[in-house]
Amino acid sequence: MHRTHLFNEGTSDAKPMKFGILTPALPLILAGLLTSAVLLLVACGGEQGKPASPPTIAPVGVVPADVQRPGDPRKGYQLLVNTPYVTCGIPYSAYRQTAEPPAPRLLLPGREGRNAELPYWLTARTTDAGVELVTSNCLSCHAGFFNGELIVGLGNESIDWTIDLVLAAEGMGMYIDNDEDAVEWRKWADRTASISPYTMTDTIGVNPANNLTLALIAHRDPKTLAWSEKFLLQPPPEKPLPVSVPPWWRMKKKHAMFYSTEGRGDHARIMMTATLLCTDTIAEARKIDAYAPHIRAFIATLEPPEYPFVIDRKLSNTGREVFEKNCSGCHGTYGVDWTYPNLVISLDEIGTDPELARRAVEDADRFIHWYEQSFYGENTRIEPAPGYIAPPLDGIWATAPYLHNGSVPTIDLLLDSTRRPAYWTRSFDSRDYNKQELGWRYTALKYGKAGAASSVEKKQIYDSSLIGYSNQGHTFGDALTDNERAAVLEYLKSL
Amino acid sequence: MNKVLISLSVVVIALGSVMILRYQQISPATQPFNPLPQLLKSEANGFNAVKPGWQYVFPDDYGAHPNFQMDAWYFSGYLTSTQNQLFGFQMTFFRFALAPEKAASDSVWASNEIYRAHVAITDVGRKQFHVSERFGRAKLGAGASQSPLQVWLDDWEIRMPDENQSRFQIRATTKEINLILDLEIVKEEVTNVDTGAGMPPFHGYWLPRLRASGRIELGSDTITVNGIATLSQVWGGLSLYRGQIALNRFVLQLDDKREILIFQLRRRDGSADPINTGLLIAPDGAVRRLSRQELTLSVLEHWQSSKGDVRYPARWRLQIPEEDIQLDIVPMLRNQELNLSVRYWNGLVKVTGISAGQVVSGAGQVELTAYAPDPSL
Repeated sequence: MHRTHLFNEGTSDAKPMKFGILTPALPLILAGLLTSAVLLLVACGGEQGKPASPPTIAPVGVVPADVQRPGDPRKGYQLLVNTPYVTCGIPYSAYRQTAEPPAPRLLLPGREGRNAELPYWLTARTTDAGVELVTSNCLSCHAGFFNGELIVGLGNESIDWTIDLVLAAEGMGMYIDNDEDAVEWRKWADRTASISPYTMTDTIGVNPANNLTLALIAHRDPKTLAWSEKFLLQPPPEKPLPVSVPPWWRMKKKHAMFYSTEGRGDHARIMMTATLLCTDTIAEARKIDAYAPHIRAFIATLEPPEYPFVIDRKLSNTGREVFEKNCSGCHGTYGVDWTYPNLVISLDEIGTDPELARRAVEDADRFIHWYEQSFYGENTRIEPAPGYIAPPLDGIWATAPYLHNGSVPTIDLLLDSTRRPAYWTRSFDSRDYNKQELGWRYTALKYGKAGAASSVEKKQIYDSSLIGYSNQGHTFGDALTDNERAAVLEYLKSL
Repeated sequence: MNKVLISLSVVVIALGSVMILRYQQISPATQPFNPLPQLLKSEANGFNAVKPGWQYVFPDDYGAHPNFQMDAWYFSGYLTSTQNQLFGFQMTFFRFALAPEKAASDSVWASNEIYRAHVAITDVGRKQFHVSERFGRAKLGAGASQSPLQVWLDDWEIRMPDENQSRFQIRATTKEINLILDLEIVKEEVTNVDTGAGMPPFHGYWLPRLRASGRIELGSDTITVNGIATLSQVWGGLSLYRGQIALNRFVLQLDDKREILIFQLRRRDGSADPINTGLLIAPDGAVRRLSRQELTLSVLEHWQSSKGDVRYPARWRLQIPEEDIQLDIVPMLRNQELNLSVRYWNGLVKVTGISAGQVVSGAGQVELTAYAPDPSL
């Protein structure tokens, strides 16, 4: 078992998303990094192509297990942080001119060669023509900071996908000075331009991964994976639905990937769709597929970090009783003999924002059909269920904000739907944590995005009135007494 | 857009200046030394790096920033004489430091700073475009102070004379024409606006509206002029790279006291459509960012340069549907090509159109770079 990597090498908080090209968001786009939410299959209506039969909609309830290909977790980590599975990116010469050397807290152990000098979210690649690139990797979205420490596997809930990546990608061209570099830069900038309308979120912290993936699919021939500048399928709606990036350590318990359990079958192959931005041939895909099981194995052995503050053990024990009585039916039990039911809860029952699941079930036929015909569909299936999975709650204290759309700032509020703020903001500082409520310190606002005084403020407002951003549902904690709720919170610190 | 726009637009000028050095196109008559070897050896590491969170302080930031490798000032505007003659003007100063330390030697040739400046005047009535360019280095008749602002290259100068530092004076003399202007700040600096595109490699601000008054001396005539001007300044590091991207800039000053800044990223190889972003400044100075999705800028006509070898866009239509703005942008003189050590087009334009059902007009300055072939190495 691999304990989650914790690194605490800096004093200032790490929010590596401020610097355009220097942030994960832009290189990310080089990458198509949707690892976790890859195929939520949000989509718009309008059918193109002619699916032979309607896609399978999975029932709500228990998700059955699928056999996973074995892998070596140690190799997996090495591959994760050293291998350029995303093959297009920024020429290193241009990167070097625009990026400061990363602070120590942004470096990861076990990185080799050029990677050792790159921030954790970038990986070096040398093309066959000898051009050195920096490419994005999974950790842009799948590593995050808590209390100033970088945690591999924690979803990045502070990444800024509101920026216009095209402007920055084109601007990078100013630093490209030879023909070989220019070829690589053009490929990356063109891909960026193709998909950037589908990645711009309204709010910092939420992720457009699903929409990005669908836009990429719409550019590719399913049989060959060849890229087409023109869409081959009707693309999804431009505006992405917000998604909170779930922590990787849930994967050891989950039978399917993504919130509506769309990702069934071989998880390693599904994870590979994170390379869709640049993987242009089946041969290239097969190369990645050969080692992907190691990376999956690493992910499946990750455990959450330990709660870094004091836990009241007595209160926690009380909380365990309350939890097992009220919550375990969906979320399982914890400890050495843990159990996890892998249950999808119907939209009616869970009552959280339905849009993500609804679109996955109702509006994704053409994408599912594409998938079935593709290399990715060889040993995997896209079978969304009309609901959301009740996730394992390991390390849940570290993963604020909550619900699949990140609409609730603390667990305390998740367990009391009557007190949730319709509009709120936070500092995006990973040290700005509320130990009593288990979540981000937040400021409730009287106005939503429409009332923001500036564009900067606007994108920092979580606005539950917007489509996909509702903070309703999961009312199961409302009936708890204040004492019971406090006890459950204490117990959750121990998971 | 803001800093990115502002910065990069001035950087057109700044980069141009470095290209000059790079390509060694400096003629002996105007350039008494070859700074290229030193420039290539210049040590960027000893300078301040551009980082987020620069706290702008005015008037101090109008001055030079010697801890950074580069400063650039760019004034432009349009002027009307008492006899209704129309003129455009542009004036740039550029400071580039070769090394962060003060020169060890007392020799004037050991100075660490290179200066470049250019002045151009568009005489619309006579259909003439007067252009002049100079180089120098610190200690040899060129220099820049921090506060109050003073930058000079021989007898060309920009300075802030006032106690309260609310106005600039610029002065330039050439063989054909002299320019002496007083430029009073009407709207405050635009800076620290959300860029939407991350941090540019420069700090900078834009003064969208200055009230201009002064005189143009043309031959034996002294012409009293009044008008509107603008100033962009950036400071930071400098790349020696030429890149795949060329930069165009449109500064439009409307008679209804609004300003529009459009910044265009254009691939030199034309392999993608240009990307336009901008700023709209309200009469009260409020800044509205215009994303690339919110505006279209179409080229309606072209102009073949007088040498016949370069085709420049020469008439545009700008549409900003959300603001109900449609403007036609037309050069007041076609030939405003600067055939200096960097060859580009930068000239006075007339703006006419409709905004919210009302006729609007104005003038502006359009800068078009990298249409001419690069000088060979």
